Amino acid sequence: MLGICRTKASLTLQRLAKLNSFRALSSLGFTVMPKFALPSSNKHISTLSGISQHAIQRCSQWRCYASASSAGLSQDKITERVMTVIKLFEKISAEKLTIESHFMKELGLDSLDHVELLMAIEDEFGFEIPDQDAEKLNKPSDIIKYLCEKMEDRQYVCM
Amino acid sequence: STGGTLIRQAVKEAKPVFSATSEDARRRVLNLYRAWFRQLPYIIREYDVPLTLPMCRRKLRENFEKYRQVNDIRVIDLLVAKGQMELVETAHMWKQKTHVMDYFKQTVSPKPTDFLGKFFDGKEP
Repeated sequence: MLGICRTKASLTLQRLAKLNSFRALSSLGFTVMPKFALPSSNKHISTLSGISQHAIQRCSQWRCYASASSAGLSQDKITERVMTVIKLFEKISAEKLTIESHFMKELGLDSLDHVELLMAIEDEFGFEIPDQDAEKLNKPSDIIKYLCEKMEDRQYVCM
Repeated sequence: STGGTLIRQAVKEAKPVFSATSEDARRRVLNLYRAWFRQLPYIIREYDVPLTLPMCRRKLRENFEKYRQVNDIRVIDLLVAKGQMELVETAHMWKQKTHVMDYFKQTVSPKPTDFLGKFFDGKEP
């Protein structure tokens, strides 16, 4: 009962996102990518479905690039990306912004602004942040810590 | 005992519509906002409305701010349900361009200030 609105809306979105190809990547979800990015699984896939090795290799290279695992998701890189996204957000003045500044108390955002900001971060990193976690992300440092953990869970290196 | 008669108050609790707590209701509202926010660029493209994305976002925010003061959980649930129905209708293209432009329709016509305006409105000087 809890997620009625959310599941219906997200189903609609997924259906529409598939029709609109430029958003197709985000609708796939993060879980699809790692399977193709690992080279060890490629041979298994190709023998099952008879796709040529060449095609699989090219496919996995494309996926690797898209998932940015080769680019290295270090703490610094994540920090940089998060701060860029937050700076681009118009409702935040760049002078007051630090890593430890609280969105609601210091930067004067309300809950809808907070939602918009988290959506911008979801778009940047390519995966959905669930509601229970989203409530706790009140400072840029929280967001960076959370993203590091999530990246580790998905078997990417976070140094 | 100091007291006179005790007034027994029958405490009636209303049956919840969807959410049991205000946290629940808050989550629904934010999810609805998220869903609408994500759908806006597709609405603009598919209905070919003469609107820009910032305009639509402002209008979305305005419609949510209209009910900011509401605290009753059942009312919030019903508002969210109506918003969700609107979203589904808009996303499936069951509406037409005019229905989307209706969101931007001015419902309050500005009061005339000059003499002619008042005259046409029928107000005696």
